[in-house]
Formats: sequence, C-alpha cells, structure tokens
Amino acid sequence: MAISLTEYISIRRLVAVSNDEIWWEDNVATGSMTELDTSAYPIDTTDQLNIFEAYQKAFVVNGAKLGVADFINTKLSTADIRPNDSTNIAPLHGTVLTGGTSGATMIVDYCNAVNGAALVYGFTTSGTFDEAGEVITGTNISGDPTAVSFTLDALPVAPPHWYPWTVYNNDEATYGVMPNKAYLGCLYNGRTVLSGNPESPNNWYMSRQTNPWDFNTNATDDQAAVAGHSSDLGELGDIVRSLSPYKDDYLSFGCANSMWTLFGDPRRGGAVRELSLTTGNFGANSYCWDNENNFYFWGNNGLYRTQIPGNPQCISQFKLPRLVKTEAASPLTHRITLVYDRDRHGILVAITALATGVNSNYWYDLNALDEQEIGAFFPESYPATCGVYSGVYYDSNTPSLKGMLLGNTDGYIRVFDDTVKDDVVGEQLNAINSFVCLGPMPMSAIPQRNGTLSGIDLTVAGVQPSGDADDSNDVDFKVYTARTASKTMALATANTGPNIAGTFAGPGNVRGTTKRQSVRAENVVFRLQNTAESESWAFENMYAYLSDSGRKK
Amino acid sequence: MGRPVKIQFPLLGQHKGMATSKQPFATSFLMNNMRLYDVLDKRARGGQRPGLTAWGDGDLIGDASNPVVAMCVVSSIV
Repeated sequence: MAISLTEYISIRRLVAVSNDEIWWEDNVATGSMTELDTSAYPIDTTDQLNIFEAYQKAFVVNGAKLGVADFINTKLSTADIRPNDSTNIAPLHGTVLTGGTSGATMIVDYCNAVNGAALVYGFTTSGTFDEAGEVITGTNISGDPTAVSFTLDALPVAPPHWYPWTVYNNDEATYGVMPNKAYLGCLYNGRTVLSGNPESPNNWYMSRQTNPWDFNTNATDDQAAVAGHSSDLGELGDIVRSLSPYKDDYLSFGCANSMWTLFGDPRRGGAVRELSLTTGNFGANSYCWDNENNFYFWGNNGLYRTQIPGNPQCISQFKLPRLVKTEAASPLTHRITLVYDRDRHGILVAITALATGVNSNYWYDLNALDEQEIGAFFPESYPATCGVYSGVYYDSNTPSLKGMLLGNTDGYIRVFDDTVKDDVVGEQLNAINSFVCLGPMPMSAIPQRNGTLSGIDLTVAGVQPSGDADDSNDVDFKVYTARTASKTMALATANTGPNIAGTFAGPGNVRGTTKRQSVRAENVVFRLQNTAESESWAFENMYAYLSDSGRKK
Repeated sequence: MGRPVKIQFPLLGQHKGMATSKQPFATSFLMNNMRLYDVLDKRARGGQRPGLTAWGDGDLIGDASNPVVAMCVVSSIV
C-alpha cells in the first residue's frame, strides 16, 4: 500500500519593532523583513514598548497604545454589523460565520463594534469570502437574539493586520475595562497579562483564558478575567517591572525590590508566593531561562539564578563583586537584556545605555561550571552601533536562520557568526579588540623572592603552513612585572610601558617562537591581545621559563 | 633557561573577588571579547569571540538612527 504523507507545519516568523514601525518576516526562507502598515494606529518607540506572542499574533504593549499584529485572521468589513436590532446581533468570539454566496466559513476571533460599522477578524476554515455585498450569517451560542447577519462592504483582507487591542466589541459593559496604560505584557496559562500601568504600577491584569479580548473580572467562572497584585496580605505591593511566564506552570513578577511567583491559575487554586524579598528585577527583559529550568535575572546585586520554587542566588557576587556598582546601570538610562543561546549554551547579559548604545556585556558560559556550579563570566564590548536593545532566540523553520538574534542601536538585527572575525556595520568592519591577562603569578617558586623570566612560548590554534580557516592569526603579547601582584595588575590594566612586548606568529608554533628576553621581579602578568581587522585567534598552550633569582631587594 | 611553567588560559572566565596574589586557577582579573570556545575549531581552549553580523537578508528595521527595541517570534499556521 502506498503511503502519502502531507507535511503540515506551523510557520515561525520574526516580528521586530523600531522607529515607530513594526516589521515582520514575510519570507521565512531568507529572513526578509517587511513593514506592517501601522499608520492607522501608530506606535511610539520613544516610549517603553514590549511585545509578546499569543494566539498566532504579536501583542504590542506601548503605554496607551495597545495593539495587535495579527498573522492568522481574515478581516471582514461591514457598514452595519447589526442591521436589525430586534433580530440580529454582533457575532460572539467563537461564532462560526458562513458566506451566503461563497460558502466560505470563518471562526470569529475579534469584532470591534457591537453595532454599526464594524471589522470582524476570524480564521477562515474553508473557502474564500469573495466579494463585497456578500451576506454573512451565523448563530451565536448564547444571548438574545442569536442570529448574526451582515453584509460585506469591502473585499475580505488576508493577514497580516494591525489594529488596536481593545475589549471585544469595544463593549466595556460586557467585556470589562483594560488599563489605560500598560508597558508589560505576556501570555500565561492561556491568559494575556498586562502590567506596568503607571496609574497602578503594582497591579496586574489577566484576560479570560483563551480570550484576549475579555477583561471582565465580574464574571465568576474559573476562566474569567482576573486582576490583582503580588504582596503579603494587607500590603500595597511592589512596582512590577517584569512578567516572566514559564510554560503554564508559573508566572514570576519581577518588582523593583522583590520577586513574586504565581503558581497555577489565579481563578482556580493558584497561589502567589514571594520568590525573594531582598532583590528585585531590573527591567522587562532582564531575565531568561536556560535549558534546565534555571531562571536567571539581573537583580539588585548582579546576576541571579534560581529554580522556582527556590531561593535566588547572586551568582556574580563572588566572581564579580560590586558588579551593579561597577556597571552603574539605571532603569532610567540603561536597558539590560538577557538571552539564553541554545546553540552555545550560555547567556548573553547585555547592558546598554539607551541614549548612546554604549555597552558593557557578559557572556555567561554554562559550559564552564566551577565547583559551586557557577558558570564563567566573559566580558564583551561591541561598537555603540551594535548595542543590544532587544534579543530573542529564534528557532526558525529555516536552519540557517536559527540563532540568538540581537536588536541593535542602528536598526539592524545581528547574530554572532563564527565565520566572521569583525563586528560588521554596513560595509564597515570593526576589529574586535580581544585580550586576556594571565596572572598575576610569582616569578620564583620560593615565596617572597625574586624570579627571572627568561623566555615565553605561546602556541596558538592551527598548524603551519597557514591558510586554513581554522588557523589563528598572530597574537601580540606584553609582559608586566612588579614587586606586588596588585602593581602588575594595575600596569597590565593601564596597558602601557610593558617590560617586554612582541608578537607570536600564528598559526601553531612557528620554529623559533620562544621569546628569550629576560626580566627580574617578583610578580608577572602576561597580556595577550589582537586588535587587527579581519583577524581572530585562539589559545592552545603557553609556557613561561622562570627561575629563582634571590632575595627581593 | 628557567623551569618551564605552564600558563593556563582562564577557562573559568573573569574573577575579581579574591586577593590579588591569590588569583583563582583558570581565571583572569581582566579580559575582553574572549570566550571559552574558540570560533576557529570550536574547542574549549579560549579564543576571540565571534563577530556580529546582520541576520537574514540584512534588512534595516526602520532607520539607522533608531534601535530595534523589541522582537518576538510568532508561530502561525498560515
């Protein structure tokens, strides 16, 4: 028997926001982006803005501008959604509509009016609504009357669409009231969640389950909308800065000085418990999860990690103490974005000055855990044009487009590419200033004595003769010595006046590589670096030739 | 020549929390744009980080004077 399989896939698309514009990936094979027309309901990217996926749409949360980029529904237009008030009614969410002449069918998702001119958005399940003048009918599951009948006054419009996010039918008497402003949003347990309302910054608002258009909290069923805040009983509650849903299991509220977690559904046995009363979360996107359900966030004292439930641990405290003070980042002036890179198994912590794009970043590598199970911090810097303002791991249907995407200062989306040795800005190649300081280390094996460095030998990646893509380029070195370890560190940090300097030729270890210059001191630091355009390097091994040279004087 | 002393690359990243004379094994007090895995042969030996380059078709989102402030991925069946 012949077997025929028809592959049925969902399409993942990237949506990006910049310059008061929303762009979407119209060609998922090449990663081509196209602007979505938002002119009828413009957004403002000079204000805070967040975006989340729900129900095959992107919900945009931009203060007073709450909008929907809809990638699934067909738009129908009518001059009168309820032509006869005694026998007709506007369709409900979920009503099935049928075209009188085309026979096309649609499941209604959203309708923006209860009477008069209206737009109806729904998923077309069969056929095509084909012409203006077609009469559309259906029957609501409840209400009185239940008959839906209206006439199209324009051709149906295929997705995508952009429209205001309001309650269903714009009928606040039936579907409740959304907050006047919101800057935070997410999808949790089938509910669209809003928070960051300046009028009530400690509160959160959840729509009805499976219906992002219903915010009526007066309904009493388990799926009805709900609002609340996260605090101990009787307390006002902290200002919410982030919403961090994890599947449908729990939702963490990152507040200014505390963290709270909602377990389960608030309408059905859910519970809010404190995650931490000693740290909050920096901002809307200052969190991520790794592949082992560990929750990371930038808190009051640096980078934190926890499982939920659990107690957050400041994992930067020991290795990078006073990190928050060093970075001097404020939510008013900086954006901190955390993204877990599934491919490289690490977390990018990007700290960017909002006004300039000047940045300070850390690659937190989960491949190099120490005995306390804490990963390795690798500081990084990018050109100001490549400052990170947003990030997402994109599991594209097209393998070559998968990866950790970074939304940058100059309006481009970038990725880390192992084959690229510069930071590319248009036609300009920006050399990566990469360096590492090794040490400080005592030069004599006997404590409190001087030593002599008589030679250095560095082997870099690759083999002679050069020419392969995996060959390392040359590496510059500088040697700093001093009486104390602190002094050598200060000298190496200043990067001026080394005792010895030179270049190790790559790739591999060229004959005669060993540098035979000598210097006598108590402590030494080696600084290796490459600052050249279109070059990269990797360390293989290194030896220093040291001997005792007597008492220090 | 003196005795050869092997110099370890800081595979455990940056560490600034101990006494200056007690720099922990396989850490560095100062480094930048280096990572554990090198990009040349993908080995955990230390190397320069990968470069940043435009994703996909390299489209400019908006204009060059405004950052990409938000992104998300939407799955749909059409």
